[in-house]
Amino acid sequence: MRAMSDQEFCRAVLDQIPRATAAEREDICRELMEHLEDHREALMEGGLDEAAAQARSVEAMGDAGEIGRQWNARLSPLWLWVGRVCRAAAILLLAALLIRPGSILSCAVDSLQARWCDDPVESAIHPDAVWIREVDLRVQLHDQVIRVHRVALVEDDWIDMQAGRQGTYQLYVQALSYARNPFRPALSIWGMRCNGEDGKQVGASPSPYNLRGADARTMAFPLEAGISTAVITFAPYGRTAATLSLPISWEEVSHAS
Amino acid sequence: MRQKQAMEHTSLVVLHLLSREDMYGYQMIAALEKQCEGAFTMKEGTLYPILRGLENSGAVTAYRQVSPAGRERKYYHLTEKGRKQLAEETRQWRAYEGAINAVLNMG
Repeated sequence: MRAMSDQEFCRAVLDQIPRATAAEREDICRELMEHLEDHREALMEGGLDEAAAQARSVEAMGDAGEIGRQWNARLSPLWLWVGRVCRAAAILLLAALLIRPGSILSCAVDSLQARWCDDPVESAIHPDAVWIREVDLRVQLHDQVIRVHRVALVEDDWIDMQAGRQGTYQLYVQALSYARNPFRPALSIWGMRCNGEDGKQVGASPSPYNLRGADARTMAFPLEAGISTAVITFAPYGRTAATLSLPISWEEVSHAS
Repeated sequence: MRQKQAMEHTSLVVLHLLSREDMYGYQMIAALEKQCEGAFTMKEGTLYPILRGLENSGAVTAYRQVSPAGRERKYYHLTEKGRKQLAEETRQWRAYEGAINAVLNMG
């Protein structure tokens, strides 16, 4: 039977010492290896070759498992359990940070995704869209940024009973808001108007975000035919804070009709 | 002999070795072999759990130091508590030894 190497012997001892902390394990292994080294050298000085000396020195140590069990019995389980409890608590805390909706880390993930992804919102805009434009228009409102990432001209009848107007097309605007500091929550997008008109939020808007790091909205604005520019304003407190101008193309509408 | 469980023989021997000078593990083994001329043998690895037990009880302390051979080793030092323990256990052993001898010398 092949003799155990010094490392194998140490491992066999340590396998029986579950109570040892990492530092204790290192200390035990080091002491055993030093003992084996000293005995091996003494045997080699006595005339044995290295292989024989190594085998004899390991054999002289005795049963590795029994040594480990005796050693383990003399260690306190206190620090072993303290270490286990601390590790478990750290794992639970990390899981809570990562998994909990609205957590600071999920907030940062949403915020970064909102600012960097080409198509941060995967929901389809509308099946009756005449055209859809992927855009990346950003305005800054204090510590928040509003990013308009998609606009579409949609054939969607509207009527304004009060003003006595009606039309066939609406401008759909998909926008995101995020805080400049990714660890801060996003404010809801509100106060958005187009050519002075209020819009309405469309769709169930199942925001893919955790409602903390980013806010996603699809707003529909009535659009009178032939208007060449849509001026979108953001006035969260009743005062216009930012403006975006979008050229409106009616060519596709003409071709379609 | 008092109704108290006597220390393991090996522990008693180890404490006595350390009463002369601080030693590291293999040094103790080598000293035992030389002193006892083979009459007292033990599996060398079992020395270390014993040393750990003595450390736990406060009879010895350990520290690292460079040996005369130039290598760092873990030395063990007999504490004052260990000296008292050694004295008491030696006394008990001598009493035990005397009692055995008395029986063996009976006619």
